[in-house]
Amino acid sequence: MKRGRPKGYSPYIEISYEELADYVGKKTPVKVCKNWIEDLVRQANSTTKMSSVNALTEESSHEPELVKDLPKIEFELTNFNE
Amino acid sequence: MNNYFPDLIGQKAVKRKLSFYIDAFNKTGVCPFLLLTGAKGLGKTEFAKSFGKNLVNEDGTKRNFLEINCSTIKNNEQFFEQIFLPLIADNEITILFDECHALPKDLTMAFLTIFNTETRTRKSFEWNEMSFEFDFKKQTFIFATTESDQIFPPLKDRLTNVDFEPYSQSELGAILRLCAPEAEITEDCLEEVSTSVRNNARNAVMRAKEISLYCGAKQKFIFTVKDFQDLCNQVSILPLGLTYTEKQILECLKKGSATLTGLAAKLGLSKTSIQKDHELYLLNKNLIEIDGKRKITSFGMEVCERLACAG
Repeated sequence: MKRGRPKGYSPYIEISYEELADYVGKKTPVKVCKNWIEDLVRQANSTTKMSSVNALTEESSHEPELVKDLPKIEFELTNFNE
Repeated sequence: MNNYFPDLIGQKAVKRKLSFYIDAFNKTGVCPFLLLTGAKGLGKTEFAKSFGKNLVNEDGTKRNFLEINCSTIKNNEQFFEQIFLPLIADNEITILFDECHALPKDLTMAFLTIFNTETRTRKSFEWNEMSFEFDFKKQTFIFATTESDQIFPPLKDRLTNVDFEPYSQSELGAILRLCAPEAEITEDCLEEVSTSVRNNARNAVMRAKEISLYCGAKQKFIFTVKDFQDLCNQVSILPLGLTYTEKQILECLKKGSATLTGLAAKLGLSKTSIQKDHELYLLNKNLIEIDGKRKITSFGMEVCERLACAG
């Protein structure tokens, strides 16, 4: 008895974004490859798009360097006139 | 000469030098970029603060003082964003970069440009398509560190060094008395206590606090040798202010000389830790000597006996 997938089978198909939009709304969650979306954003090189990637990869440890919060510098300010 | 440092004991050379710069600042409005160097606990930060307290703004008010721990600065962006723009730019202020050997590389490089002022009192620093204005009549810069060898030499060349000297026993005694004003420490006791603070002014201040607490708890006004022995028992102060690891090293060497590796194996410590943390004070106090191997001295043997008696 044959088991497994036939040769040349792929679980993915290519459709246009326009066609996809006929079936899913703007806010429908879509799972995409993290590397793929990050590459796409890097190519676009746009700040607005970068922030949307942040939202997507919020919990990811591969957060882009640009938007990392800088740690606080420890200092003490003394006012000798008080 | 004006006494600008009435609350600080000792460091006569440092006081003379800093007083000269305060007088010069009051006449010209300019102060060199100072670098305070010396071993830990000699009072670099205290002197820097006292120095800052004597600097006066154009309107006659005292100049604010900003103390920054350099080990928490990671890069230029963080420094200019969190410190320079909100606190320094256009303000009259004294800035102390404490532990300045830990400055990040890019900020050290920036400082090479900023502090290369020759005779000018203003400097514009261009970075990241922005311009940062430094006005050295408004802003006084002080650096301090125990590790002066780790400062980038070209930066060191741009700073005026103020070197701290060790405190004498009598100066440490004076610090003890100054910081425990409610307790009258007897003369013989003062000598005994000052040998337990490891030549360190900060330790003297802490020991004075312990004496104050002891006298407060016991409702005593006079602190004698007997009281000090009692205090030593209660808070575990060893003769000469030795630590328990230093005591272990002495006890180990009492049985015979040892190599660094042998000592590390017996004590379960790393060789670096013994070299950097533990044997320096023993060498300083002439309790051990190194001649190929580590050996205990006759004074070390004597202290070992005292340690045994102290329990």
